[in-house]
Amino acid sequence: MTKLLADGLWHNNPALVQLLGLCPLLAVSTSLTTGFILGLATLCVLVLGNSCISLCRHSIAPGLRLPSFMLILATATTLIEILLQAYLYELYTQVGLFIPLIITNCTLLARAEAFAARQPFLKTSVDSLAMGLGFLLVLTFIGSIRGLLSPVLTLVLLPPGAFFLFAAMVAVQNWLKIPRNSNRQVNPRVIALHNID
Amino acid sequence: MTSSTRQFMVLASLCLGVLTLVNFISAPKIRRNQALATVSLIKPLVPKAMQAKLQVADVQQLLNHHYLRLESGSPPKGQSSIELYLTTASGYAGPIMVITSYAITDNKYVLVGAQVIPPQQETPGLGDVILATESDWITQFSDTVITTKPLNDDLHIDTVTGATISTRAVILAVRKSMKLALGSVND
Repeated sequence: MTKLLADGLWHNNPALVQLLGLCPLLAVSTSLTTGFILGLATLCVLVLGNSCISLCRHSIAPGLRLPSFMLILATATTLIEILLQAYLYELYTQVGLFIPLIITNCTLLARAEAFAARQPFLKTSVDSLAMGLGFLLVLTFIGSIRGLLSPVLTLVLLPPGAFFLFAAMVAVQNWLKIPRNSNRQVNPRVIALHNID
Repeated sequence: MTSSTRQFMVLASLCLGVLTLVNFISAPKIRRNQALATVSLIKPLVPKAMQAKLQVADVQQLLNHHYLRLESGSPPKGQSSIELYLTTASGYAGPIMVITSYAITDNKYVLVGAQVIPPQQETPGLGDVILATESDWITQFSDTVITTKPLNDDLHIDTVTGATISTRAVILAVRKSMKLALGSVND
């Protein structure tokens, strides 16, 4: 369970490592609020949709697997949209246009196909929660930075600015992942593998 | 029907059932939310003295019947009233609903202003210049004295590059309301 959480949040983060769902990530992260709300909506759709997929994975016909996943995920997206309209209308007006687009977020289908379709309910829920939280964190982080920098630098509000910021985040994450201990011995087997070429 | 198709159909019906149920439960609340949001949107279109009079029920009436008349009864200054119209025109990505407000004093019609109300799906960053929150384009309609015939060059409003269809739709919707307002004068 801890490994699943660590995977979603850091090692296999859907945005930073898998580079999935970049379209909403770049479009909606212009401020902290919109980024957070869309991230939260994506998290809800991910957990709800993939948990349902995991629950009925044995009754989904293998040949109609992808349409079935899309059907369940689209239902979850529409459900979240209706609930947002009914109970959080103020926030819905800010991100309303992008809520139906959650279904086009590749993270959803990727997790459904790679994880939810093969794993039990509880494991899938934790995985979806971790992946959703990972996406939410990145979206909120980029949103807050763009919101903070926008009065000084208009570029950050434009799509290229978002790309630069996102690239910087990926670079920083990769840099942080490099093992710090420089004295560490290089595994001789790795050297051997390199010498094969 | 093969068993896999049957399984898919069952799943589809289940999804449809869940959505229909949730939509049925939330619909009244969503309509009320829309009316509440519209109240705050159209407050600037109504004179300050009448703003307190504008209730959710009035806006719901406006949304349902596309027309609302508000009277301010202070006889020494002369009776004045406000007429609000809801008109629709097709924008780039679906219908755009516009509320226009007319102040009537001594049979003179003044277009107080116009507002685009949700839901609308115009492209963010381009077509959304029609929204008061995104630009002040819509304020061009404010305080226009309406003559008897709404001719094509009656409204001197420019469309916006990149949002031609959206802005043209709003102008068309306002013109439709002008026709309605002037029609009620002639009656």
